[in-house]
Amino acid sequence: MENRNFTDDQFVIVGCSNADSEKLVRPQTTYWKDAWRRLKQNHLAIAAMVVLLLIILLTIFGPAISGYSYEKMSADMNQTPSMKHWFGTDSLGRDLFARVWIGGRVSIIIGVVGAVITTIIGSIYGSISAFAGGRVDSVMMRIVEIISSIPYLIVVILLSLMLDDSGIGSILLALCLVGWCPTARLVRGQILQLASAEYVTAAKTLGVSNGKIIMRHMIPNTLSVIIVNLTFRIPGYIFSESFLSYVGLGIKTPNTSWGMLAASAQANIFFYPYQLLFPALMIGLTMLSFTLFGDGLRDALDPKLRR
Amino acid sequence: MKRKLTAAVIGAAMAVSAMVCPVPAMAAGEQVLNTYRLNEPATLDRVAPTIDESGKYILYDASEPLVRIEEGKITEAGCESYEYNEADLTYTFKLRENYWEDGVQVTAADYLYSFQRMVDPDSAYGYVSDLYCIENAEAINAGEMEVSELGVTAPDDTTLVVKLNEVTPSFLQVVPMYPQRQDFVEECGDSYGIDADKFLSCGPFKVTAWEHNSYIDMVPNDQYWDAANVKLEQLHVAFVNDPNTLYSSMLNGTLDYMETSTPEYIETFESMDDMVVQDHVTPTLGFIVFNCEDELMSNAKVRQAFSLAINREMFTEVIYHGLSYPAYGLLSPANGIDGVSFRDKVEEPLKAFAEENPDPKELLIEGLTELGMDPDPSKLQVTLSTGSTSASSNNSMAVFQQFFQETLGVTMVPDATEWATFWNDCKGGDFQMAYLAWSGEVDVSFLFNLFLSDSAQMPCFYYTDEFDEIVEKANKSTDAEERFQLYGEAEKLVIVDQCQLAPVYYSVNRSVLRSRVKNWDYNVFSTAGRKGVYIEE
Amino acid sequence: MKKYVIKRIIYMFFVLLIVTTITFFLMHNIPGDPLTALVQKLPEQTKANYYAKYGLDKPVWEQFLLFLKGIFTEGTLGESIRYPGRMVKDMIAKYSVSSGQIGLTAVGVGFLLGIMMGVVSALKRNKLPDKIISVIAIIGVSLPTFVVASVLQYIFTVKIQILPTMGWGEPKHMVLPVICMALSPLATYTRYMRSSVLDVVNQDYITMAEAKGMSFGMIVRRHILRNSILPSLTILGPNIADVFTGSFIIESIFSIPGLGSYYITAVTDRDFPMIIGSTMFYTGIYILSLLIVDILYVIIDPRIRLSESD
Repeated sequence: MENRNFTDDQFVIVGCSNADSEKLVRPQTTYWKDAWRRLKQNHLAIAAMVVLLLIILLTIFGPAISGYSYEKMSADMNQTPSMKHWFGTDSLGRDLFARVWIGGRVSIIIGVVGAVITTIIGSIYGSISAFAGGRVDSVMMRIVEIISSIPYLIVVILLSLMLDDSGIGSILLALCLVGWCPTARLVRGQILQLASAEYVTAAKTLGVSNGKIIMRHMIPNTLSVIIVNLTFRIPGYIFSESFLSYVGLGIKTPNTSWGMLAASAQANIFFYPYQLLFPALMIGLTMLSFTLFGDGLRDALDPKLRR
Repeated sequence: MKRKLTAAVIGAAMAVSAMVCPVPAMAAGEQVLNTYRLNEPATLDRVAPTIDESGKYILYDASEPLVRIEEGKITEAGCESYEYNEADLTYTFKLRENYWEDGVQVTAADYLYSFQRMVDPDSAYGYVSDLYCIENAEAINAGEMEVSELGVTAPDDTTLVVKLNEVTPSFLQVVPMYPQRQDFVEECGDSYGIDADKFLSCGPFKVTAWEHNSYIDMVPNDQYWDAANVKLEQLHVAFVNDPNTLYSSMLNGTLDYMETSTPEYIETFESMDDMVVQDHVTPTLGFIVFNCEDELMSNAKVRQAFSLAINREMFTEVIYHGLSYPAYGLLSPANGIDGVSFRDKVEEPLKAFAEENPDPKELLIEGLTELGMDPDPSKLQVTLSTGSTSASSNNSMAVFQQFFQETLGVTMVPDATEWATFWNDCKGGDFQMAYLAWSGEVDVSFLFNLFLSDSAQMPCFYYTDEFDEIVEKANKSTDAEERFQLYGEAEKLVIVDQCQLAPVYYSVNRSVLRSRVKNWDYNVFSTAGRKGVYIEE
Repeated sequence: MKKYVIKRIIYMFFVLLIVTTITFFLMHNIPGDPLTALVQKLPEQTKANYYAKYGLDKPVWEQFLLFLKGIFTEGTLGESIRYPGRMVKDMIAKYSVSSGQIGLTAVGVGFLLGIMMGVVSALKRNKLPDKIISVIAIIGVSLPTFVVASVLQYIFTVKIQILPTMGWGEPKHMVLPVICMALSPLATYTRYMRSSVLDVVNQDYITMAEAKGMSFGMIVRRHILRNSILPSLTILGPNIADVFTGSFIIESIFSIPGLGSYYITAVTDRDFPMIIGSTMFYTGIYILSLLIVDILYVIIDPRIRLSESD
């Protein structure tokens, strides 16, 4: 560098107006704050969240406000919905309003917790497999194939023998045991596609660490698929629970779940359709809320959709 | 691309419209009967270990036993006459001139062959003990004697002689006597009876098609001795077990017959002019069996308390809507001796006992004290196992739960698993109380024999000499009055004194038949088949 | 590519062996044996003969070796115990055809319609078509299959008598089962497709294509479909495999001779040869369909490389 001499008169004061133009008018926000702001603007997603909260509140307080015991039989059998029994009664004369909310406790926990757990496990497994590639990927995928191929019914029968109590915990275990496999394959497929995307190549070239690439690029960009996967798992698990009761791992009477309520309404579907309507409606509403909320969340988190 | 897509759409639309042509409605008077079974038969080989109710049902139509039970009476079928010689305990059957569907004559050797196969230990025929009344049968089945030494002989082509080793009043009712042709069976080998072309009929109908798990089709067998009196031209047996499918099928004419216990269905059918609804009590008993080796259930008073805690009237009303009868005994009104119902002769033993003990809770506390356990029933928790997880079974469990809670103050935990696990636990004694149903047979002794200490089929783990003696005496007696009295004593032992079992309900069949179908044999023990059935023009 | 496919097929036999081994030992550990399913109590001698006939009297590992020997020397999977005389191989071959016919049609219809509906839904995001399609999709998975089946059966065979209630053999027997079974895949593919199309519509290459003046249909086919179909393909693999083991519920409602009921009853009746046979069949189909899907990945998106190590 050459030595240069400057004098004061070589400089002119131009003021700081230009500096202001660089300044952000909005308060600085983080990625997550921004996402939350955008989520709040999505009315549909907020409405879905409210419905979901309402369902959860009703599963907690619903049985109490019904004024009936969910297990108490009465002579009012197969009553249609009325002021006395809001959702009608079942073939044993039990109040369906109370039963639907009692059933909701089990179904919401199993549907939501099960879906979240398997989605998390599956996503982690899938992304590791895809990112590691090569031999590790190969072995990890073979393991998924093996676990998916062993007859589920046999696994569950064995599980029901090992776990004496058949509470929610053992049902969740039975569901999660193989439930993560499809998610793992799905996420792996997405990551494989992303791994060849230009911005990932760019990030790699710039020397960004693998962990950071996964966190900043891979996960946000697979999120949409993961969320759809999550919402579809919910009704799936709600119905699986009623299948588990077939081998003795399900919920025991008089306790119930939406899946079991729907299954027991099947025999009389042409005569008492409302017995099916309410549990099916709740399953649908739960899933709809999760879907709408999930869509909103996805839009909020997806950097590409920023407007 | 767009053009291809349009073409595909049009093609698909055409295909759909071709498929959606109206189903031809059955012309009235056409001699076609559509009936169903809940499961497909595992085999049509009458002596296979896997022979099931569906298989027996098909065989009524597709084979010709020596005798049939028609309208409650034993009627000659494959034989034109038979006689029983009391002195040397032999039955002599005189065969009819009858032919297999391929034109070969049915001979005594064909009947003899099936007897021999039944007792052959290699066949593993499940109900072989029914044949132990025949000379040497037990020894042959144990592998101690040759099959040829069985007390059944065919002196000529039309005569079959069966020699018994003891008086067996129920012989003609319980021993299945269906012919099987040796050359055909041997030609088919292991696959005899598992497909339409692996089976040979000598009955009123022959099997023309068997789509596994879907249907069996039969048409009249023109070689049959009584072919002139077989009126149906086609017999279609669908295999279906979904109640809604059955209901829809009755409404649209796909089926002509259905059994159901759903009151809503019955109401619909009763309002229809062309349906006949009928009730028939069956020999099936629904019951709770106690594991008498369980610490708590080892006490008779405890077992009696649980038995009395069941409100049978309420149970049958709530679960079966009055379509089954409350049971206070072992034998249902369907069972009887010489046409006299058992229940007309013997009072149900539990009724009197219930009157003597109006408060089962007291009985339970006494029992608990005898056992040296905490006499507070509310601290007690019992498990009731079952091998079904159907909605109706779940309801039954809920009702029992309420009975035990309200009457005894005991908490009951239901344990519902799939059948094989449940039954394995039962046989291994790994249960406390088990809820199941057992179908009785035409012969009254059937349900009693389950409790004999040498057969020990009922998993109660408590078998007594006293009971054995009474039942064995009753089984050999030929005097109806004496049998009623002895079985009555045995029943009281099982239900009250020893209380291995708490009867709950006698099952009732409610059948719906299209009214143009005539000459239907409703008797629950009938083996007449559809031979005489016809459709009214 | 060829090398990769061969490698995957070799892996397949490896996985098949492991699955078979695990299943074989697991199934001998569940309570009950084929005789348990029969209520009547057989005499001891009869029982022993029966066990001996099927080799059930031998230790499990010996049975396993005999089973492997049967496969390798005679190519047999043994004889069903529940249905004596019927060979497991023949049963699977026969019944998987009906299950496959219905199932593949249903998955095919569900896949194609689902892709179309998903694309429409995404392109009309938050507009009326999107909302209608979303509701259909949610109903499709929230209503249990047995309910849809019973209701459709009632409508189309009782109220409007244009279809047969049950049975098998003619194309008309397939209509209702296919509709019922297509519903869930339809919903699934619609949602996945909608979501992944949304991911790509805002990508630079779409804007670029638009700027180039590419026609809309071309953009959808060339860019949108190719880039968004991957998740749907991923779930298509197992979906195809599942149809061959059939749908227990649909088969029993419409009285269809499929593999579904045999697969379930094999377990509940403890029909060991049938359990292991259907498991092997399922595993084979499952892995093959995964392989096909993996190859489709590469064909559709050339950026993906088959990543098995070389």
